[in-house]
Amino acid sequence: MTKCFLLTRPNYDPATSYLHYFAREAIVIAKQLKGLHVSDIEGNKVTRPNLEKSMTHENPGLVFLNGHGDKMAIWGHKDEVILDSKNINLAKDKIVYSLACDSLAGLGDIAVRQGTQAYIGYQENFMLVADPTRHASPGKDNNALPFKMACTKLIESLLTGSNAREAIEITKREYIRLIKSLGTSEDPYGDVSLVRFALAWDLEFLDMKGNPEACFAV
Amino acid sequence: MTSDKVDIYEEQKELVLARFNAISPESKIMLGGDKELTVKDLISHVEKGDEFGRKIVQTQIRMLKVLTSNV
Repeated sequence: MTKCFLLTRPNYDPATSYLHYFAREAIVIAKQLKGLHVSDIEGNKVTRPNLEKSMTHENPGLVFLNGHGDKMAIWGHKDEVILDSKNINLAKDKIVYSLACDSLAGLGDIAVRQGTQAYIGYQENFMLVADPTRHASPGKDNNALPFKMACTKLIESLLTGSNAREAIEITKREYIRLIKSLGTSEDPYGDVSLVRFALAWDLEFLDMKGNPEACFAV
Repeated sequence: MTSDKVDIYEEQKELVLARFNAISPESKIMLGGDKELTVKDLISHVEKGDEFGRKIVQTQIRMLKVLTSNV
């Protein structure tokens, strides 16, 4: 039976444009895996009805939600609430990775109580440092690159068979590696200190609820 | 907090403020909840000692431990 990987990628402000770009890497990785169907809901199609339809009809085992939100909801295009306590039951038996709001302690808790296998996310809002001169081209933003690498590491680990706990450990090691490897020799604007701090913040607050052995094996 | 813990926390806070004061105050961090923070905002939270400020101090100290460790 073909497994399904669903991701949402709104793209309507600087932060979501970065996440939209970051998640492209996950699609590249996923499309290389045999027996995996990738369902990419992006841009203005990231709406509540579209998410609900995909969660119901395509039955993804792994759901990667990018974008804004708050403790109790994930938002889609132009801040429309696409996942909250009213429809979180659709995540039953799935693994959910939410980037970048602080939904873990709120919605994540409810999700697991309603049968989500594992909910991976952040206890506090995800932090990202971008170069303001590169907002229109996230691919050229060296400040944002370490955040892309860490986020990609987590989803790559889940896609390639690591369980939830392993994926988080691998990602935390990647955050540590990135914090240590950032140099200061070419840092005319002093951004490196801030990038390190934001990476350390994301490292500190990345966590999960649910079954640490939950695994999305293709 | 005991007075020893308060002293340690106050020292950590001063260290964190010194580090943030070396960064341009208008440098920004994007947040996943649709907000932005400047370094000035971070400093303000640390100085106020609110919950967010305490988490900032905790994170900076953790980062320094990472930088100086063999992890």
